[in-house]
Amino acid sequence: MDIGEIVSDAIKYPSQKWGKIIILGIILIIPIVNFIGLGYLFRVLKATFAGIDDVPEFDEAGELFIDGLKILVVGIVYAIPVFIIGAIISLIFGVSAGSTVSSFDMFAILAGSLVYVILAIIIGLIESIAIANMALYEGELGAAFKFSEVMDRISAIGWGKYIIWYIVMILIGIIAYLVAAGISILTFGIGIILVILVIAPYISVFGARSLALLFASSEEDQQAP
Amino acid sequence: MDAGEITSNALKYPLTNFKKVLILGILIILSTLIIPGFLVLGYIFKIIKSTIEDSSELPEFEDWKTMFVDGLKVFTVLFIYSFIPWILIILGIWGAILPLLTVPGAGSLMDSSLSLNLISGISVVGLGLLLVINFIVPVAMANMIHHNRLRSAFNFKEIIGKIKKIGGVSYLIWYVIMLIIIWGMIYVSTFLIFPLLIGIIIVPLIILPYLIITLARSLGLLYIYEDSGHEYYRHSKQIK
Repeated sequence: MDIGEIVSDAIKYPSQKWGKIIILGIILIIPIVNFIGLGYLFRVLKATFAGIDDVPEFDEAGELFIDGLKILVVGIVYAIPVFIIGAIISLIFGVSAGSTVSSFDMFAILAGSLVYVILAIIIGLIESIAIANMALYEGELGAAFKFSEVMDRISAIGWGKYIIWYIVMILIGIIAYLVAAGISILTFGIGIILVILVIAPYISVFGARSLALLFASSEEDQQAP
Repeated sequence: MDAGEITSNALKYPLTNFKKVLILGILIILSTLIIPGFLVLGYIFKIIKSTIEDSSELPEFEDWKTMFVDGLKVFTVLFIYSFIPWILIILGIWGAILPLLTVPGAGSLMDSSLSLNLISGISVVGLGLLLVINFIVPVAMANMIHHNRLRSAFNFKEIIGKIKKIGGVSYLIWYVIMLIIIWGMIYVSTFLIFPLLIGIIIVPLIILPYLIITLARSLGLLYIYEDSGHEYYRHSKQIK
């Protein structure tokens, strides 16, 4: 599947069952319950890998909850190197600046932030595939940390294709955000409820489906004779 | 407050002069150039104003400078009201670790921050504040337009008083009906956009202006309903 096909499939995918999207929206807002929501997105990954084109159910909430926690754990672990490196950079600049000129502090903060952001994006790229890999292994937490496998998978997809896909996703996210902002403004804020309950979960499910399809596309290519 | 009457009046209102709906639609499409966007808001201002002043017709597209300034006022009110909650929400998202982009895409940023409950607590509070604040914003806006003073949008005593006069439950019912109408538009729009791409033109040109004219009219009617009583309402507002 090329990126165009992936995106158009994924963008229509959540519209099958608006009811579930709204339920997801409500779930994602409530602090501890929202792990079930994350687990649901994970289930979208698994279902897509199994070749199912229907939007999954919300049953077995316990499993969803645990999957959500797993995603959190993966996120934390992947965040550690970013934190550490970001902190080191900031420290380096901070120490050399001493405690004098404030403009130098600004530079230090900016430099540290920039490195932090770039690093975060790179780690994020790897982490997405890692989580998808975990879905492929039916939720086995260790699968998210099989780094060589994850990197192989990205190579199979193709770094170029992956990055283009990522940029497309970000652009779609921005458009969705602008639409949401527009709706809120034009409806004196009344629309914001719909943005939070409908548009946000829609984009999340779209993202999950899209990621899974991208991931699966590399598998197809590998199996092609 | 008769929600049914207000709603049907508001829904029929744009039909009285469809050409103006289209003009507003064109302005909406041009809004990517920013300035027309404020003109759109200014026209909404005009609708609410003329409704409060008892007109049944769609206002003219004239006095562009005034419309622009009024549009700025509307935007400013919305901005100020949402400022603090949004700061909290963004703080919550940035505080949570960026690599927690569990799924690429803007929506997931909200999920991933909410999942890290320590810092997401801030986001949730921001979110809650946003919902509460957006509950009174429509009346605040109408208040400003009625008094024609920016300050009136923040006259909480008056605004809360007005909501009490309308009746908290009645206001809630009105609010929910508005939500349903907006939802209806979104639902129809997705059908028009995804399968049949033609929606990309029809939605901003026709559906969106129709929606916001209806909402503006509805808000204006809600605002004056209690002031003038039922009889007055029957006489001038009715649209045949």
